[in-house]
Amino acid sequence: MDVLLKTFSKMLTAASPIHQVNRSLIILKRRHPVQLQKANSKNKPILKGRHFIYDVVEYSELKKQENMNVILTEYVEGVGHKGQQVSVKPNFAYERLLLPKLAIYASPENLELMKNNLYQTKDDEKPSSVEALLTVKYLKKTVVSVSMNKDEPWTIEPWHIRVSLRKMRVYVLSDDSIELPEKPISGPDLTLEGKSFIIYITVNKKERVAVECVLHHWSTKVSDRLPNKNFYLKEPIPIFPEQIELLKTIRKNNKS
Amino acid sequence: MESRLANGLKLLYIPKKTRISSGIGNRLPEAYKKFYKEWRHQTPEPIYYQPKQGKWTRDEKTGAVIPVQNIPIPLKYPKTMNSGIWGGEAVIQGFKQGGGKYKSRVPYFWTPTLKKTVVYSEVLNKYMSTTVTQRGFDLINKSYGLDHYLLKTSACNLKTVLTLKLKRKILMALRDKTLYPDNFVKQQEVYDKYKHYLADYTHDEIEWYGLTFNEALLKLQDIDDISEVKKEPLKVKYRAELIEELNNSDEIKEEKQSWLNKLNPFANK
Repeated sequence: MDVLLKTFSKMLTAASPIHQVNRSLIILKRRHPVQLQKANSKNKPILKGRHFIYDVVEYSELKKQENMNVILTEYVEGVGHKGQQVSVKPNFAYERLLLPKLAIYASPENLELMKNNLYQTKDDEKPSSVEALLTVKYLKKTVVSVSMNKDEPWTIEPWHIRVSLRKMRVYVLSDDSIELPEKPISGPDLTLEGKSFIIYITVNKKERVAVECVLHHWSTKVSDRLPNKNFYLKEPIPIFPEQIELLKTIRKNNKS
Repeated sequence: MESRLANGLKLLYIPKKTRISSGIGNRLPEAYKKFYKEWRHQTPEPIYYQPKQGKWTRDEKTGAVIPVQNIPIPLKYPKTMNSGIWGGEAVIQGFKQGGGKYKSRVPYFWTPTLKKTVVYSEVLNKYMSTTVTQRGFDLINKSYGLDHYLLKTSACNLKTVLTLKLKRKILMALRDKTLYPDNFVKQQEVYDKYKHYLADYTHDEIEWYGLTFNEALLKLQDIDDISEVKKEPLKVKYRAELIEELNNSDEIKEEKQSWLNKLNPFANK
């Protein structure tokens, strides 16, 4: 039997004309029903070759799996707060939540226990929302390219940053949550081209993140435009020398 | 007449010989035989076919009343299965056949898909990497954890040696209270959670639970060896008895009397 299994697995790996899709738990039915056996007989039923012809009634594993309820014992980014009952896909729940003990099964006993114990987390200790820390993580990784005009004079305002973030599909709802450096940056100044500075974004008025921005001069004329390729891979050169340490730590954390 | 015939047939009935009812297997204790019957002789739950309900049905064409007989689909149990949690799944050998009248039947094996993952036992407090089928996962999740699943499922449905070994270890840990030796609060908590499963087993049954036939024979041999060592020859016992008897008897006192007294018939005793 084992030899058979091995040969079968080999057949599956090789590009064979017999392609079997997800051979898992299925429900079968005999095409030819077995003749009636003697009542209460202790002998094995008499089976002929034709009784081994099966038709597949149902592939129960091909069905969409129903969600499963679990109770979180810790805050999980993008899933829920501590003590919250969430409904997630079974494989995700098993591998990502139950095995590392971030959650327990929502059995009747556990539900009663949880009501007494784990709902007592204070609101101040909680993150502002389920996805807030995920957003913070994402913002930490991003390097924002701030494109400014090459010909017209300007000084950077919060809305410039908001628009640059919008180009990266990060929608900042109000300009109050964007915090610019204390010294103003104004231009057009080609000595600042490709140099970085740091701004702070506050998520849900609670989590504050430092985000790296790279200045770029952009022209309406195609022939006047400067190259802006792979700006996020280059070594950061700060506009303000006091920000160099912070810039380096941000890049280092993103790499690891 | 018929009832008498039936009685006669009953007298003729000789139960089939099995591994545990004949030969050396017959010497195994009742506790192991109970487990072996549960494992090998009971029919497992139907999972590959839908059993028909009720006692009688009508034939679709003729309308004649016929009894319902659910004849299970024969399963094959490969050796590799014993190192995983298959949740009752097995290999089916059979044929596929197209729809047409002249289509030939083609041999086919229906085998479960195996996943290499990790399972966690709360009683043993251990992570173990094994192969598990999707049905195995579903059953673990439905019964809220591996320990609950193993403890409440009978041996014929667990089937694989690995699961039976795990169940044996869990039962032993609960019986002897050897779980969480460092943390007594946690130990009591976990013990209370699972102790109601212990009601189904006696002390001796757990001792013999989850052993394969060969392992049970080895265990029996060990017990025999120990009792062999304890056996003493009868002469040792008899000698001890004799010495005690001699100590209690008053022959020694008689020896102290002088022989002259014996000769004198008028002397007082």
